[in-house]
Amino acid sequence: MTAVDPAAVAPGLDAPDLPPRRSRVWAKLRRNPAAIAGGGIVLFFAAVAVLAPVLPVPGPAEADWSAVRAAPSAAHPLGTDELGRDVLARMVWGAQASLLAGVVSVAIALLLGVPLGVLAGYRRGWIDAVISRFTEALLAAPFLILAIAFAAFLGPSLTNAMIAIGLSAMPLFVRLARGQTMAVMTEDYVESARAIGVGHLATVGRYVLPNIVPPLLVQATLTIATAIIAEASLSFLGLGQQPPAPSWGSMLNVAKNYLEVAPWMALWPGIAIFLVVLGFNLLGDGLRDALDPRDL
Amino acid sequence: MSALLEVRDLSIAIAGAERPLVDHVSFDVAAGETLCIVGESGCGKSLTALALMGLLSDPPLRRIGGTARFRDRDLFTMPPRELRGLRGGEMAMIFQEPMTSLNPALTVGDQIAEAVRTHRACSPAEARDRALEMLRRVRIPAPEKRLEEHPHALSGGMRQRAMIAMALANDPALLIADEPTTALDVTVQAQVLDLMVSLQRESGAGMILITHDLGVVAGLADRVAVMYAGRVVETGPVAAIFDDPQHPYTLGLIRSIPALSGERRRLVTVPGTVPTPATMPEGCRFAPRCPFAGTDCRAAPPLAEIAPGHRVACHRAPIEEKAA
Repeated sequence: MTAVDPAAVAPGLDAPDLPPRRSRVWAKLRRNPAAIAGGGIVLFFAAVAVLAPVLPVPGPAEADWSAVRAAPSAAHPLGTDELGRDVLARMVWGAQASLLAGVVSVAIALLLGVPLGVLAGYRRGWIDAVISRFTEALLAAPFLILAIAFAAFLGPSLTNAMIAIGLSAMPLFVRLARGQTMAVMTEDYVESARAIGVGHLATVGRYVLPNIVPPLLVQATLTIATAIIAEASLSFLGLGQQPPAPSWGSMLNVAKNYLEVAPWMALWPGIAIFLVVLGFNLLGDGLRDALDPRDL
Repeated sequence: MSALLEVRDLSIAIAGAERPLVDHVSFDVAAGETLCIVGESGCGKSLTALALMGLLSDPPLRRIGGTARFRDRDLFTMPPRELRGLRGGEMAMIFQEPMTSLNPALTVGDQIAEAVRTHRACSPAEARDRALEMLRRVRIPAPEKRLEEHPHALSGGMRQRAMIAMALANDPALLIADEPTTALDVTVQAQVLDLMVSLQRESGAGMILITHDLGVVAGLADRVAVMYAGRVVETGPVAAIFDDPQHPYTLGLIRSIPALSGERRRLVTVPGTVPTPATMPEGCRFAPRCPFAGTDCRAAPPLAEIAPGHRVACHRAPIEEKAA
């Protein structure tokens, strides 16, 4: 029998040369102005947080007793707070706490939730039942109430607030990872992996995980926004960042006492929280569209 | 000649159902031989194949009886670890759906290399070389380039070639192909089948080819097993099945092939439909659709040998030449 080159027989029927998936996702993301704006906002705040030590602002705890609750001016572009500390400086340093709280708590939620979810979805049976009931028990309490309970139990500090938020966000990722794993397990390529004798660990690592990453990535981006609000809320309640270290939430907490005499103290942290949450949400929505396999 | 694979009385049932979906199916495959399992959708062909590979989704499907000896080891009683070692090594399977049977997250080369590394101790570079060699053997154009590509960049025919490359990467002794060309364009079907057969002849592997395409059977099979509603109704050498079909169902299948030459006639069909598991008759399952059925058909006919190697499960067999 002679070898038949299908491309020679029917050149037009050959699949087109598509660029790799990663660069197509990037190309789609780049064409989405909202996602780019969201990414830009996130990048801006991330840069501010990282560059805080070298930016030309005073230290976050440096007090200028000659300017207490001073309105925005050339010396203090965003004004000063009740102890004469520069609000711009505290905003810049507070960005660290807020972004760190968002990223670290979601990382905790992912690290705990995804393995549990994949285990439940892969093994099914009683393991799934135990993990699912546990998850549902956690989901029965509202997210913020749960975070407050954990934070109060662990004691007030930024680290504990991040752990509390991560634990509260975990059930979401357990559920998502479990559902996605169950969906992937019915795919033909998992069966064909079994047919070539691939073991359980390799099946999970190379067939299940890579195919459930896109929805997890989207959920993680959106949850960072929720986690930032949660950190602000916890700090507002005194359960997060402790004075004198700044965070946007704790700044709001203090500012509420001076709303009538120094409204700028509340304005800037409020705007910053709003913007960074908006940025993560836009980015998450954009990622969801870009990663949608239906038109990849 | 001792058989490579001996399947005896394989029965498979779905949870909650009384009657098995696959009922006492037996057949042999010798090395270098192609056995075609023929039958319409739902007759249990694919379930039989999945059971042999240990891939039945249990629950709800369950093997309720039978043995399958492969190289003198029982596939159904060996420990899972040992069976996993066989799968993709000595025993490989090609699936029906090339479009969805490749992992979208891995490159074609990585996937074939995965099959190689699962079964042999070799370096990543060696596995990759083997993957490239396999892509060449299945005659994929520009194999070096395809090795680096993800499955979405390949056409259906190329993906099925890649699946074949993966299945054959470890020189299996037995290849099970479950309707490997059903999802492909007609023009590509013949190429892929030719390729499979020539690779099988080269390696001397036994092959179980599951199909409902009698043209494929006539062209490729050494022996044929015809299945109807979960049972083997007729089995024998391909010449005997086509020249001297004995079971009324086989006869009906062969008569329903449209002829390209000669008088134009109405396409012959088998009256009625396959009974559902719930309405499955006692005795011969084909009886309700059979023009020759009688009262004795209420008892299940045994699969009796009427000529060397040619077995039929019909009380009427051997039937005399019918006057046209």
